Amino acid sequence: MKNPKARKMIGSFVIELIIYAILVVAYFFAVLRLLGDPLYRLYSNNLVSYAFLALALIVAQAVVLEAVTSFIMGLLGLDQIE
Amino acid sequence: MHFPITDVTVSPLFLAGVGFLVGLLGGFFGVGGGFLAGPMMFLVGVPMNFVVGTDLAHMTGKSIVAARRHRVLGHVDMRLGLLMVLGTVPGIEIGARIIEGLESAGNIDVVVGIAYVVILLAIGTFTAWESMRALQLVRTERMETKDALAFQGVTRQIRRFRLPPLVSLPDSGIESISLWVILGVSFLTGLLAGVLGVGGGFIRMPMMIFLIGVPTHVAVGTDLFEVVISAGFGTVTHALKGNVDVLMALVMGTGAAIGAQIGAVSTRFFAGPRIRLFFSVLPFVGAALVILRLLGVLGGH
Repeated sequence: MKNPKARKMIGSFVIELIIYAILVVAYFFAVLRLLGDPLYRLYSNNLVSYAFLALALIVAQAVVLEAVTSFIMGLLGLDQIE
Repeated sequence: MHFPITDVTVSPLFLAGVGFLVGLLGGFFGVGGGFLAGPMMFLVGVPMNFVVGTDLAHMTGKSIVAARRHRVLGHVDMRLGLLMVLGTVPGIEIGARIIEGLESAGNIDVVVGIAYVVILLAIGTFTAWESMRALQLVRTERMETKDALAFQGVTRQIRRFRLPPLVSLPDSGIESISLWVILGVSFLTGLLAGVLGVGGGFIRMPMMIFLIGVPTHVAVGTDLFEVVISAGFGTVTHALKGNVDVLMALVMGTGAAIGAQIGAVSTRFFAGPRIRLFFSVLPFVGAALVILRLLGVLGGH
């Protein structure tokens, strides 16, 4: 890659991905284990609440994971690929 | 990892890997990717009724990440996306009802499957031909590569239809277009998606380019925006029927979010015709998977 701007952008993006990967592993071991039983109980007892909570969790995960990563990138002073 | 809702044990890394792959494709091409994720989930033992609902749930999260990235890159036409939802949702609903009606008359899975394969092959062949021609035009006539199109005849004919109200889509570079064209195209894509039982991303994306005249990058981003709404709606309706394993969707979503970001950002490095050329491979993969399903290798609906 000869273009220094492109190289810097790819470098920033790789760092962002590493941060993302760390967050994901933490997520597997902490949040999903904690959520497993309550979600199963809700699924068995109240499908309406489960349906809306499912959507909320999916949206929240997407927004929060990306926001946290962007925040850490900002703290590190790395440019976003934007 | 055991998932109590579906009562299956699947490696979370496998699910995150599937999510990553589908996210990558979705971020780059603006498609939901259900045609790929569904069979892979089924292969590891996820019951078929959970495959569709859970796939829609993870698709919602992935599309939020990708659409947000595309929006920052200026690739999402919010006005067009919202207007298209008005046509897509009733189209999907009517398409689904047509299928229900036909199913009550007999088993039509094979007929729908064959129609799906024909449509996929037609889209793949046409997009491959058009994009290669566009790239050739760029070389021989020194055209601007970014949005070179080799097939604009239908777009021009459609633009001549000026039935009011006319709307302006500055983010897509369209000065004015009849609202009925947008609603008609989105209804048609929704109808096809509803009849075929798919999200419809790889029908909608080329339709936006070749019928409405939206630049390729904007078509990708805007399609993702539409996927967020339609897949989110589908998630709730399937979850109400007990067909969504949200834990599984969350695990897939972690990989998909990374893939979607890479896919979305990668579009910056490719011109429209190249994206369309790569895209043309997807319908052939989709057709192969449908043929395998029809042959019984990947199970039924």
